[in-house]
Amino acid sequence: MNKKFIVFIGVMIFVLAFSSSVSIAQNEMIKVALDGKAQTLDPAFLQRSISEWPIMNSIFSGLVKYKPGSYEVVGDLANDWELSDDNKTITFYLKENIQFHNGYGEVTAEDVKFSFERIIDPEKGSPEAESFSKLKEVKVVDHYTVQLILEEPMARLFTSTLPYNAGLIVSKKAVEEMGRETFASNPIGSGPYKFKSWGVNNNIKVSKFDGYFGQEAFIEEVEFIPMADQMSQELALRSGEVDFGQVSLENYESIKQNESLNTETYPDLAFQWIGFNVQKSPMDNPKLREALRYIIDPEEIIIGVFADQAELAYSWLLPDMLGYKKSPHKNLGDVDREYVLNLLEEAGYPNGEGLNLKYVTDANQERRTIATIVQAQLAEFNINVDIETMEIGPKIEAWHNGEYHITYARFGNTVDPGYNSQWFLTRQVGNWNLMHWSNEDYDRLWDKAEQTMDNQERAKLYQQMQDIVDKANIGVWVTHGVKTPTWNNNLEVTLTPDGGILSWLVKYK
Amino acid sequence: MLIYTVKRLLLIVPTLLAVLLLLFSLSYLLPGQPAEIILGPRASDQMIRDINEELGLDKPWYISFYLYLKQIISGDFGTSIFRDVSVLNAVLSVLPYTLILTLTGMAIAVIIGITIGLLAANYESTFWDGLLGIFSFVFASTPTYVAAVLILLFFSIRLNILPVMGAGDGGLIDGIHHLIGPALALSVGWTGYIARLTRSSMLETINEDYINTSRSFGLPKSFIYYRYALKKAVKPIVAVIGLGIGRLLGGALFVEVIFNRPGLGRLTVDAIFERDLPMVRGGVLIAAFLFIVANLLADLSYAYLDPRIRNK
Amino acid sequence: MNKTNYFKHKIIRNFKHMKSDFRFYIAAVIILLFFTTAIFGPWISPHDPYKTDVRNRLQSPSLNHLAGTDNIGRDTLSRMIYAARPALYVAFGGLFISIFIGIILGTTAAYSGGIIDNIIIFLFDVIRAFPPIVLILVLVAIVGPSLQSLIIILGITIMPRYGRVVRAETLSVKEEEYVAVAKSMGASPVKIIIFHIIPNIFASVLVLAGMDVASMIMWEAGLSFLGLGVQPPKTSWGVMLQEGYQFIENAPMMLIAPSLAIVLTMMGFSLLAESLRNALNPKSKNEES
Repeated sequence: MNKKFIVFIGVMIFVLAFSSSVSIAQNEMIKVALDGKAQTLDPAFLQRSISEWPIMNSIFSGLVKYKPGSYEVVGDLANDWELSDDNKTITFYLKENIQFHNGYGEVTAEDVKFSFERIIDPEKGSPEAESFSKLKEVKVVDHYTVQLILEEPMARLFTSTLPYNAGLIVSKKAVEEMGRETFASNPIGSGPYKFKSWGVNNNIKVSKFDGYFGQEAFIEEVEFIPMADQMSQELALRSGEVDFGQVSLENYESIKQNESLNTETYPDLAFQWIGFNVQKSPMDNPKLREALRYIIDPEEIIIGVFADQAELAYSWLLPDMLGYKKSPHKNLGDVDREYVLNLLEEAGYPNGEGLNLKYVTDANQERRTIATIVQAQLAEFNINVDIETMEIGPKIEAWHNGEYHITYARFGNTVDPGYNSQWFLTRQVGNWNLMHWSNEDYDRLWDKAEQTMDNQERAKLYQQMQDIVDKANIGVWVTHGVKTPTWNNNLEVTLTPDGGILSWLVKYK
Repeated sequence: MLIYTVKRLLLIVPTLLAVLLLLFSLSYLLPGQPAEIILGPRASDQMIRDINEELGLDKPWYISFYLYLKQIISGDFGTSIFRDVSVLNAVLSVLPYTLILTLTGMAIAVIIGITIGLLAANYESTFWDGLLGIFSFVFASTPTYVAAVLILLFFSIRLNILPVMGAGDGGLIDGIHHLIGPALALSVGWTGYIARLTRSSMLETINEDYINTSRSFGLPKSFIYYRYALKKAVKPIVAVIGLGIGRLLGGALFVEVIFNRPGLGRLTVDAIFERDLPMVRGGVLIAAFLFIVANLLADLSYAYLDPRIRNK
Repeated sequence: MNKTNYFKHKIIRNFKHMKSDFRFYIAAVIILLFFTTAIFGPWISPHDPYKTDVRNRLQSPSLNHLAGTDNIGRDTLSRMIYAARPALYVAFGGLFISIFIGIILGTTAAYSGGIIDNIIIFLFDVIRAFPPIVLILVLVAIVGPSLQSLIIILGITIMPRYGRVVRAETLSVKEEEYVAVAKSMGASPVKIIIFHIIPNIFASVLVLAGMDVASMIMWEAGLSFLGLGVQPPKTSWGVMLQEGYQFIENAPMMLIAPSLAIVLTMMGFSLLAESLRNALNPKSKNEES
């Protein structure tokens, strides 16, 4: 009886060991870690989230796209385009015979009209409406020709709107058939991958689309796995459980030594800063703000939170962007302590005493640590800081209402300086102008720059704007952030300039 | 016995109702406008209206509660706010992971715990007894999450012999490999507890009269041990197992978070952080139900073993 | 028979029992250490736990920093010492609430009888029907995470045990003759509670309390670890565990230090509870109430 039992167990183990090797052959699938769960896969209703872009990129196509690895704009669905003399009408000539996934037919001008008009329709409440702010209407000229009619020239239409999320074309037939809600989790696009499944664990699978009009993808299937925790991504990469993801800045150096992984740092396109709410007393006092700029040292944040892997930011624009101007930091080491103490005294807080500031920020680890560092720096000058951490919803509410003295934010940038500079406009006060700061000159310059098509002229305007902001002492720029795309050594990858993955260009070595 | 069972079964209904009521009132008790908090200020009016309807906030609470009950009875636990899945499907798909984890953890605790306890009782009052006793006590005082992070630190990261996360998806062997660390972590506290319980229970039984009488009749020690003493000593352990399942479900939550495994605990915690109320309700309801059932089975099995109640 | 005298005798006798129990001494040492750390923390800690020194972050233990530094250069040992306070607050604050509400509800149930009694028992049963972790999570989600909310929530979660004990004891004492006598002499129910009921339940409550202090410390740390308890930058052992988890590879001391603190403190209180239990009921070593 005993012997038989042992043999039985032996056979079972043998069988089971075998069964574990019957899985998809490695050639056919890669796993990509994303920074967050996808909320929806309908481009018109995506709430400015960054996590979904690698997926959207794979499933949808736009009229134009960024050339892989750069920010140069080239045609995608469109063969060619023409601007009218007044720059208010743009005519796109679509390539012929481009198919949507799953037999939903050809991509035509009707689909373009449908995709954009649902974004600008105020009834629909699309979060991307701002991206098409100057679009009046879309006209179908013929099957493959479509015109965008603008109210005013829009410089960033080509630099940030069309090649990005808002410019993605959806299948009109599919949306109308399925209804918006179903479409959001069963998207139909014309990209190199088609949507396959959205699991209960929020993993999204896409599979190669055989009818793609361009260069077909190399890998059969891609699974996008949300891992909000940076440590999880890193651990998963190390154990081979995912093929692409980010690693923590802390461990970047040791990952570089790892034989089975490739990793590089890429400057993130975003912009992180500490903002002062100039409408809430005593932050309305410019001397106080100037003192704060000396006291707060962003270098410590970069060391403490970004493991010294990120670069200090000297403007909200990136160094190689049009119109960039470097505004130097105010370092405590450049002046002496007396100078700062004098400023504080003039502001009404001799020796910093009696000053209580409220600091509002996100409830995640990184933001809290940043807040703690700032709090400690201000404590050196006897200034008391109350940190209030909030979830995103209430935090945005607080931002709108201006119930704080100091806050921290990260805004995503695009390639277009105008888009990136809109947050300091008067009309964004109460919305996304976190400093609640208003300056007529700034507004005027911005409007002018939006319509200036000559790059040199435009650059000058932005430089002037940066000077104005610098003098106003409304915040401390911290960093643009850094990404650490890391991938399995047996893959060859192509990345966007800010370290994002272009899934259809990934192949095995 | 039958009457006892029926009585206990009947009690489940009002308890579950009370649980449901508390869960339901979540949407009313949350400070602020739930829809806006959940969706953020970018939410369009339509989305807010949809959420309010889903949460039942557009009607007076007693009507909403009644409708909610009807929904539950018909098997519809609502839909997740952020994704298009039914709560029931989401919960059922992760439930097996939690159950396997919990049962494995309990099994480990029972096997190792009883073994240690028996050994300790066998070597009573010797050095080994003392040593095992200390180990048991330390284990019993170690919270699950502490055990989990320490196991993660030593076995997964330092020694690299266990995977760091997930439940594995490459078949059975891989799955078991991913189960070892989490199940061990989960079992630590209970192992210590069962070890001590076994030891004291065995010692107490050994010293009872009728055992001594059997001894005097010349039966070998081990024979007595395993046939008579163990049977009697097992009773309190069985009672404790039922209690333990409930506690292990709680510990499983931490293990799932720390080892990044899918499971009911993880699902619920994520839902709480996201304020996905329908998911929170569904997850909590199922968890409460499991807990009640586990307790019930434990009580019933204890009653069955205790002839006094059995023959009532 | 004068109950108060009997009570005094009991205490003396029990204490004698405990004096000969080696566990009591170990427990006493640990608990004393805990209280000293919590109360005198600011005086005994080697550094200011809030002072950041970013350029010296994630250091291994050294003479200057016995437990190393954390991710922004704060001294881990000092933080560990300061974090004993929240543990103290939660454990005893929560316990106080549990016992207090337990006594009120228990005696009310026993005295009122009938429907009120049934309602209160039902309330107890409902609370006990939830897996504790789930009940706590749900309540935290409603009330919002903070040290104060934890104290109240934990208090409510543990309360049923005390409520039932108090109720049972009240029921039995209520009927006894001397109580009737006391009543006829004009003693109010409150006085009866204080002088007769409490001395009787004191023993069981004490044992329960010992175990529950350990539990509460465990819960606070666990919830803070998940991010649902004490909110950083305020610190607690659970918060330190969470931070250590993030930096598990670079500075394992950040994780080990609070782990040791938690386990040691829990052991201390468990030992105390056990030696109490042995002293009070030498026979029943295995019962779980």
